[in-house]
Amino acid sequence: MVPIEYYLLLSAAVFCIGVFGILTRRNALLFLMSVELLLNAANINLVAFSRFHGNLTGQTFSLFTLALAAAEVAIGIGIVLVLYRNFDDVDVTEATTMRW
Amino acid sequence: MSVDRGGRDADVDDRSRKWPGVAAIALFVVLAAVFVGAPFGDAAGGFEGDAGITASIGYSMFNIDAPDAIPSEGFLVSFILIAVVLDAALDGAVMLATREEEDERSPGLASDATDRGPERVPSTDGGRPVGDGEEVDD
Amino acid sequence: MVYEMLTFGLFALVTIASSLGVVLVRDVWHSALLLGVALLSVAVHYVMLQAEFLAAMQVLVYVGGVLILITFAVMLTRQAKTDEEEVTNV
Repeated sequence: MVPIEYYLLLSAAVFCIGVFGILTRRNALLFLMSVELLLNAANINLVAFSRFHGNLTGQTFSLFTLALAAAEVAIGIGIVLVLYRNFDDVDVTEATTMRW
Repeated sequence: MSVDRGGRDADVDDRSRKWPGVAAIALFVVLAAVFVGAPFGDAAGGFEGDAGITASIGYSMFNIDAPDAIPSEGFLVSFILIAVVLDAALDGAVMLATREEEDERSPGLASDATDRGPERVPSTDGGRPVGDGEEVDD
Repeated sequence: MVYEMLTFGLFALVTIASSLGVVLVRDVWHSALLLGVALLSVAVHYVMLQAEFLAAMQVLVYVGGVLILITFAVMLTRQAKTDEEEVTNV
């Protein structure tokens, strides 16, 4: 069995890559993809600890995370399409109407 | 690549990636130091239980007490809550995707009301032709 | 044992490389495809962790649903002015 530290390091790497993507990109679709990377990193941790402890709570919880990620992407795609319709762009720095 | 669109596209390449990259790498270093140094105890030898893993996931998702299931917690309440949340997400997606008639803007994220002409003012008088007040013509 | 570690290292490399590709590639369509590669390699990690059902759900929900939705959004928001190196999709 692979030691759990390796899975934690893999998950931390994917999480940091997702954070980097959110901080650097300006396309709203890349935001969605980076959020998917973050959720996958969390899922890797959950499943790894589920295997590590011999308890199925982590796997069941990551199933819920999967369903919520799908719903989040559906809402996010709707928001991105409305953003594109109203601003003719998917650049998140263009939508400054609600900026104070 | 250096198209001037508000002067922001030119510095996507190098400068604006520097500090987020440093922040991400610093976060990874901190996480790795914690993960490598943390004591996790001994690993279990695997899942114990005669029921299959998938069957045990079903048991734990609906709080079914099966005698031979792999140990887990119950998730029935969170199952119901997430079902309600997914219904709300469906309604939100439909609300965002719906566009009104002869209106190019969506009602969800209409930016401002100034570019909507006076014909967009909703009539509160039931739509009957009245003589007093200003005439809302369209 | 050593094969398990070897497989883990290989697929961890695939996961990290494709995740880096998602956030570093300029074209958003290539980012979507690399996201699919990353999600599939995460499913491989699930199989290695004895979570076969979760791996199947990962492939079905993410690659079959989420990635198709993102692909539709990429196609719907693709700018028409691709002659100047689609700078709006950065």
